[in-house]
Amino acid sequence: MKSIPILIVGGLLASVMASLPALGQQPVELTFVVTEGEYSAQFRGILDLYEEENPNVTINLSSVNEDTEAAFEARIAAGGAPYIRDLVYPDADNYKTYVNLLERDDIENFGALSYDGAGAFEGVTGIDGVQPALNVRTNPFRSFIYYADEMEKAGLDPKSIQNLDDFMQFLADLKVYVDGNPDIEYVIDAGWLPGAWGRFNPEVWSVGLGATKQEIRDLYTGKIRWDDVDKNPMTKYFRTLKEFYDKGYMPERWWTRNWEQEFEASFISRRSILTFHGPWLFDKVQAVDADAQLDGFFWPPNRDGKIWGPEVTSDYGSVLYAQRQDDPEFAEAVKLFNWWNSPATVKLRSEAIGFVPAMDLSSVGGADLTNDQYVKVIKPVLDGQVYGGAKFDYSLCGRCAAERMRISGTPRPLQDNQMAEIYADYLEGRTTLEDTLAILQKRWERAYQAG
Amino acid sequence: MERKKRLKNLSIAAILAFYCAISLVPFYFLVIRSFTPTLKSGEFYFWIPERPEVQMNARLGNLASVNNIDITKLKKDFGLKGYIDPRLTLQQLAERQGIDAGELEEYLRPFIQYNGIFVVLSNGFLKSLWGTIVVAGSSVAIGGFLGIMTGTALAGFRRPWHLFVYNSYLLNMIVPPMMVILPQYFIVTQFLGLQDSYFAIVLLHIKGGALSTMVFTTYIAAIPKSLRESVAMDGGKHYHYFWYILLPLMGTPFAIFASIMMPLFWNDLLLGLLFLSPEKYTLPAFVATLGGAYGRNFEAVFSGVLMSLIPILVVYFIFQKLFIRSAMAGAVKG
Amino acid sequence: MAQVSFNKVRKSFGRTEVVHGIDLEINSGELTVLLGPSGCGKSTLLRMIAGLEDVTDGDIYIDGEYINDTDASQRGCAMVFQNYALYPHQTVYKNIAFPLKMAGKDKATIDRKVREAARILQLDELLDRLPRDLSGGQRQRVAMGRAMIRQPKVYLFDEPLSNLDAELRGKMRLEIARLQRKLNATMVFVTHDQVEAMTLADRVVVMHDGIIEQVGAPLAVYQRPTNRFVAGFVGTPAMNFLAVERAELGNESTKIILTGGELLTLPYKVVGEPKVLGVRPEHVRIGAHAGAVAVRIDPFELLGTEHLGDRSYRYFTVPFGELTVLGADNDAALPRGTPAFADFDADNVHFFDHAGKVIQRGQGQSAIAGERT
Repeated sequence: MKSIPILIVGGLLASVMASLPALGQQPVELTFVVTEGEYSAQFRGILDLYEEENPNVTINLSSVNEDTEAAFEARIAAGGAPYIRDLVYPDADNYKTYVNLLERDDIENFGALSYDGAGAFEGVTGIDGVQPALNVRTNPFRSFIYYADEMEKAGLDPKSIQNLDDFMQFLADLKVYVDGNPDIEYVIDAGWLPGAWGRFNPEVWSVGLGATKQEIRDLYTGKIRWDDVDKNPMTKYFRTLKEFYDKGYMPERWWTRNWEQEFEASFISRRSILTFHGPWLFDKVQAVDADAQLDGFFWPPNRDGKIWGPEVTSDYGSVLYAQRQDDPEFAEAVKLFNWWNSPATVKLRSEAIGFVPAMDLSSVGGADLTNDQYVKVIKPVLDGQVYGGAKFDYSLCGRCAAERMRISGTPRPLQDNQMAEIYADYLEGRTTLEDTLAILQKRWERAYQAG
Repeated sequence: MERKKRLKNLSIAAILAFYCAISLVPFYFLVIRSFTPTLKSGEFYFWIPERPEVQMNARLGNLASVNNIDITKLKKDFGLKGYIDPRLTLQQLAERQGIDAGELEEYLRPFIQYNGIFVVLSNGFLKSLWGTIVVAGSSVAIGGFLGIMTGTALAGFRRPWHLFVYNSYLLNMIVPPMMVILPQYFIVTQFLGLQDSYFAIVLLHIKGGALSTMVFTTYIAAIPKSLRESVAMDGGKHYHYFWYILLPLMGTPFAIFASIMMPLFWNDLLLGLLFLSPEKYTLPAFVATLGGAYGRNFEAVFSGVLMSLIPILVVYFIFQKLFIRSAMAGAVKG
Repeated sequence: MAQVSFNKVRKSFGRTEVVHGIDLEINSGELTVLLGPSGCGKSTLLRMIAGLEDVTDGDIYIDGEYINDTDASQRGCAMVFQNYALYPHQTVYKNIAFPLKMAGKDKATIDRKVREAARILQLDELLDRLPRDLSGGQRQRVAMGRAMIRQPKVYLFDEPLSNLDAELRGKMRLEIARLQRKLNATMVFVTHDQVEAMTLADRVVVMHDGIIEQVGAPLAVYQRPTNRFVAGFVGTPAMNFLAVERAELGNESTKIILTGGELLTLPYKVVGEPKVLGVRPEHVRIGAHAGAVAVRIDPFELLGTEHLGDRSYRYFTVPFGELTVLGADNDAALPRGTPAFADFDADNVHFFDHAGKVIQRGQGQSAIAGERT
């Protein structure tokens, strides 16, 4: 009896000792970090192919998310960077962490990109001769998403929408249906996420409401003042948002609703049948209900006949860590990096997780995208089948265009949690549109310096 | 009078029962949540909701992304080779790979129906649990032992520098752990070479802690000096006093120390994420990685929290007496 | 059995010297009591023997062996502490066995010796108890058992009876005395209780302010104090001290004039210059008739009487000071208003000079000379 505590302590000590790092070298171990943890299985399946071809290589795949990001950054700061990370947003503050791909002569695939991949970072930030990431994706498309079967029940056909007036009428009709249907609560479901309501939605909706991407770039780069109610291309966005809110289209105090557990969950459980979202909601719905009839549509084209399209920049690209550049295994890491971004692999990647490649894949027969967002929403536009053959405007977003003016370390004018309060004050009538735009002008002045 | 007294006792019991109930309610909902599919987490359930069925026309990739189905493991379990296209539905997978669809359905049913529990179990929960036991157990055992040694040296502050040492330990309390995390990482990984090692975390847990120093120093100072002198008179050396007399008297302060530090060590997220590779993650780090960029398997997160709570509850029940004694220490003269 | 010798032993705590150069021999097989008020250095002296305090200066020998630098555990002393210092989580058996365990004795030997000690101390029934389940006296006996189990050269007692109630204290005193005789051991006993000292000691060492005031047999210290401190400290109630205004020294007699002008004629010669006269309560009487050596007291007042059953003490204020007097209970009350006399037992009157040292009387005069040891 007496020896039991000693045994326990001894056992613990022994296992601590056993966990000390084993000496001796494995052939090659490459650390590979992904940001989209939910696609780990898909990525693993693809990386397995590489390991099969290169038996000396072991790829340690791990993922980083919101909760683990801080520890991951700390680890890098202290010298513990991995070799490769996928899905990175390089900017003027952090690009030095990554290898400048232009300085190396062994980086492949820039030539296969369908945009100026080598100059993309400079194009956004104005930093000369640097390209920290290689991005093979068209950034995610954002559209209205709806349950086709539910719309049919409601007697509504979103596909018949041709212009803004049709859209507004459609919403009004849907509102009537929602009011008469106790199972459905909202016309346009929504929740709070600073990225959605700070980065994308204001620009996408503004373009949908008639503005051009160029005007938004002018707004962000200081050519149009935010508090200039007449010229600000977002004025209509804020007015419409208030109109929607006042008409009861959107959930009460939607800026306080948790994105995933309240907003997405309420759409998935069909307490709403229409929302505005990126591609992931399709996956989530269909994992729960494989038979769900999801469909979607973009905002009607603006006055130039263009539909908002996602810009293609270095964002979402993959990177090599500068810290690792002198490692003996770095050549192996570059080899894997090149393979990861080669047309054959990009084809598998885009098919596996459903992004539109920003790369010419004709050499490997093109990507066969079967996900609903692509097939039902994006492809019809690409094929010229909706809105009278309107095309996407893939040009730089306003926020992207202003990156080179940003004062390092400041929050961007719309993209933070404080924005939720600004929305709240405005939508609940405590501030006027003018007040709100004046606040945004101040926030813009704090974040950017002209020139 | 008797009646009045009974009424009083009854109402006290009722109040305590109510208090007990509201303390236990969060645990109850944790259990419910561990069985509530993530995408139904918008709803409020008082009882475990209906279990979802396996849908054979669900795409493999969606199941992997939302329900954390491990495709690599599935491949191994069914002896499949080559690349599995995640766009395939389960039905298509069964047809193309020549697997019996019913068998596949049976295989996946527990993963779908008890998704949280199975995701947690199949992603290395037991390994994480063992890692956490090793880390938290060694930290408490070694930390307590070192605390007792420190306390023995400092008790009574017989020299001016004792107080200085003591105060410098207490300073630990006001230094936020995040402030020193980078230097610590440097020292531990670069100078000590302890990458990806449980020992690194144990080392950081047991380094001079404010609480252990305070508790043990105070407690040891209260032990009559004559006990130590008595051992000397009885022919014992200092280590005899430490081993035979002091250590057995340290039950109560050790329980105080352990009952406060054990949960902290058990739930330490930061050091686990920082020093360990995913294969060796301790429980909190393991649970934290269940999220992705656009979604998070909350059913699995709650299951992970629930399952990592169970071992520490077991520890508490086993050592209940000791912990109660530590809680009573000072209140009742023993 | 061992002899302990002190040679000019000094002890300082920081800058404060608390023991000022002690020379002392503690005889083998004797029970020596270190007696003195608190803070006199007696405990420090004991702890220096034990090795629990360093010796600042001077030498200590046990059986001629220089032990200043010897570790406490190696000196062969055993100690009984004021609070007994029993190991709280160990049974009586284990407490008593502890010194043997430290000495590395085998289990059989330990068991035999523990049981033997327990029998001597009547602890047989209590061996499995924990200290917290014992009474004060039982704890005391366990402490004794732990001390004697190793047959130490010297037993050291640091006020071991002060935590006991009066009845038990008396009992334990006898027990210690009995044990001392039985073991024929060298014991050093520290106390501030003079009754303990008187009843237990073979020799008493009276200490005050870090020096030894007097060493001697208990009765000798009582009857022949060498200075005013010892005279005042030993004995309850304390000795009466009367200031001497003037003394006229003759060859056959001494005339003492007290502060009230009263004249006291003693039938012997005093050598020196007496400043204080000391007399114990049992050596002075107050009555209506003057005796051989008497002074008239007028006025006087009876402050109170302390009845102890077999005897009583009465406290008076008199013109030359205050007097405590022993009297039988059936003493007739002094008649009010009539003159009274204080009657001194000339053979038991002590004189002290201005430094408080005792003044010797002339030769051949004392009736108690025969009692000198």
